[in-house]
Amino acid sequence: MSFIFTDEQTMLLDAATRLVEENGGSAAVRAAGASDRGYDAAVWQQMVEMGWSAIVVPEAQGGLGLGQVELSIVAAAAGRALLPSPLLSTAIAARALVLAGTPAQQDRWLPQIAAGELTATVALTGVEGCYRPGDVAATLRTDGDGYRLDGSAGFVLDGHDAGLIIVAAKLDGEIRFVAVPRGEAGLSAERLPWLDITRAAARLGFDNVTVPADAVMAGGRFADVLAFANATLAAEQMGAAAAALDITVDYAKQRVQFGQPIGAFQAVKHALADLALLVEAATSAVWYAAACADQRPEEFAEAAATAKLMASDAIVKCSADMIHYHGGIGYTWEHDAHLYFRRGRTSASLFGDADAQTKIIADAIGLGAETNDAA
Amino acid sequence: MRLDFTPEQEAFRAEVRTWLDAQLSGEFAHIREIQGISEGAEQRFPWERHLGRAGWNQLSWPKAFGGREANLFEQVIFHEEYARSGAPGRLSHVGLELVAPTIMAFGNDEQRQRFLKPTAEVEIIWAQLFSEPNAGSDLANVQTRARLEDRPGGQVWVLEGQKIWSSFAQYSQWGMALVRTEPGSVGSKGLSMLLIPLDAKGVDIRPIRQMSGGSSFNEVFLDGAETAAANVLGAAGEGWKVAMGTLTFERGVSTLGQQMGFRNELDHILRVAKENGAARNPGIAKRLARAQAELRTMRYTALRMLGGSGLSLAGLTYKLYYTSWHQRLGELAMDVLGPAGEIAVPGSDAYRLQKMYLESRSDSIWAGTSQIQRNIIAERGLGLPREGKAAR
Ligand SMILES: Cc1cc2nc3c(=O)[nH]c(=O)nc-3n(C[C@H](O)[C@H](O)[C@H](O)COP(=O)(O)OP(=O)(O)OC[C@H]3O[C@@H](n4cnc5c(N)ncnc54)[C@H](O)[C@@H]3O)c2cc1C
Repeated sequence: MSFIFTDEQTMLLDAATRLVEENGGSAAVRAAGASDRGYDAAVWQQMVEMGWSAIVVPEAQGGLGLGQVELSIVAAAAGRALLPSPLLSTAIAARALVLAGTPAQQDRWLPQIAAGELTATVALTGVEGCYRPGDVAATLRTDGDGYRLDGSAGFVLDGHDAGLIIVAAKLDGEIRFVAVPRGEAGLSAERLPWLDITRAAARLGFDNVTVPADAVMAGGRFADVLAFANATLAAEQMGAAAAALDITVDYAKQRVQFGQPIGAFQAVKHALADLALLVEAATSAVWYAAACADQRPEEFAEAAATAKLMASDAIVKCSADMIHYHGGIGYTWEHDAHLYFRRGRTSASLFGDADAQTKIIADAIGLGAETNDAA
Repeated sequence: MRLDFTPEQEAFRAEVRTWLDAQLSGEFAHIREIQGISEGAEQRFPWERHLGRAGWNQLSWPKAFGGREANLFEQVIFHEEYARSGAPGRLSHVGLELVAPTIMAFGNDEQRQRFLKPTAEVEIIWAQLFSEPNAGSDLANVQTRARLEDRPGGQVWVLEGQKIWSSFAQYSQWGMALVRTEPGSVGSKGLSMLLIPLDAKGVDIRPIRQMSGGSSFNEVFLDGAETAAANVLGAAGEGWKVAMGTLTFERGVSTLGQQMGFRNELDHILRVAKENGAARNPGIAKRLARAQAELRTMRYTALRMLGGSGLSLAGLTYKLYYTSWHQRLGELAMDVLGPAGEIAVPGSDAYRLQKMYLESRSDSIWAGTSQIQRNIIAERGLGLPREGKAAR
């Protein structure tokens, strides 16, 4: 039993930290978030060159065949600076392909993803942004040898830009994953005016989109894809929460009032100590979930939900207190505190909010029937 | 990162479990029924001596002191299995977890020879005599005095003063007392750590009744009590350094196994919630799920501290995290029970959970209150300045 990174993982962490520090300043992050794509293509290119697009792609498809721990390492590093990129969306889509795709689908898409030639994303929910299976708002119907796709999807990360979208759609009441390339006739994408201004999300419309039979995936459980999405997002949240705390602690050491640094006042000090508890809890839960993904699949659903719950708590509270303990400057547009605060809120809802995560945990401890909400 | 324990560690776990199961279904079966911190002392001591004779109490100790030199993992595995077995908490805790490590770290050979073996075998039970009426969080304000006097058999320390909140002192033969040996000194200077016999004249131990009904702690009046001059741990005048050493042991390994005991408590509450229908209340179900998530996280943190890097901040946050969690669990237990939980018939679910609810209120006080913990996290972990001093 060990929670120590291997030498390779430490090197990956160091490289990721460097890349993010070099590219992740406030101005760069804001400009990237506000650009049409929602990220800086040159930064993404650097990530690709470092192999990040290939992390979860199996070696057979030209990837690195690494695990969730490695993915979480880079996600956490990017999260620290809120650095926008298609890393998260593409990695989750690659995971979905690995979990659900046929060999032919994997051979067709994964090598392109690994090489950084193709970005991808997942469309898992309707425009309401809830993640119960019943909330899926895209439907498949048979049409000759193939299918047609109708409906909509909300909160699709990088959905207006991604080259490939893995859509969760209902076929005869069952959820199936479908690979829909960008530019398909009948597919529309509209970037959402999102609370988070350091990354892009889109609303997709499907209007009689042609889906060949070989674009429908073999299997793959909706809950498994969501668990991977949440484990990865939680790593990003943990990174952001830790950064929010660090920045606030630094400020509390420097800002002097009443003749002493505000961090000397217990009211401030104790609040920051409480944030440290949340960040440490998130850290434990995130790395455990990552290790479970690779080593203990049977525990993964609960571990991923736990990680998401803990990391959401941490980023939401750390970012709110980041504003507060900076005083007036923390409330300005110019200060980055609101960027973390915005990310806190949106990331806590994305892929299922606290209620959704506690529901998964409740199921795991046998309270499932009791918490099934009728809605 | 590796989640699995090694085959050797798993074998060790199996050894511990097999041994505990055999004892607790045989000769010591009745021990599992004992609840609460301060019940059933007369049955618990034979059990704890039994553990000592079998070598479990001194698991981590050097071979020279009769130990097994178990590493950190094995120690935690033992504590986890012990908590899982449902056997009660240890009355010999102070001696095993606080005094013995302090003697090993600061004592001389003679003291080690004299005290360690009987401590491990629970022939000596110890009290930690640190706190005083006016020295709690501000421990350096200790006022109990000791001065050297000549006696026919040699010099002795003579003690005057009062200690308080001394856990299990009513059962103890010896105490480890932080006292002022330099007259007129203030604060952390001029203190010494003395080992004092408690069954001697000049020592008056009075149990204090606690809000949970039992009495695990005491007042200890020292009125001319004597101990041999040699019974000082570390050098005279170095008591503060020794006390700080003890406090790090207090927040040490044994607490890492704690979450297994919490596991039992949460499982109990889950069972009750399913039986009495409370789990159908979505608000309760959510709190139960959250308690589960946080307990898991606590275990991950313990594992991370054991087998990982970047331990320091996690280690500093651990006590505050688990004590806050445990107090919330007590509240949740009462909400799961509903008003019926306010009526406690001995042996019932309500009786056990009510006791836990009451006893958990002490968690934020002992071994450094939650405020002191936050100071420690902020100052040592986050590097924030001390109040009132930094800007001068
Ligand atoms: C069950 C139990 C067992 C114990 N066993 C032992 C034992 O075996 N041996 C022993 O020596 N002691 C023991 N103690 C004593 C324990 O260490 C003290 O109670 C504790 O350190 C607090 O001291 P106090 O009771 O004097 O409270 P105080 O220090 O007076 O604290 C009162 C309140 O003021 C707050 N406060 C104090 N200082 C500060 C500060 N600087 N900043 C912010 N808030 C502050 C505290 O957090 C607390 O809420 C035990 C206590 C309990 C409850």
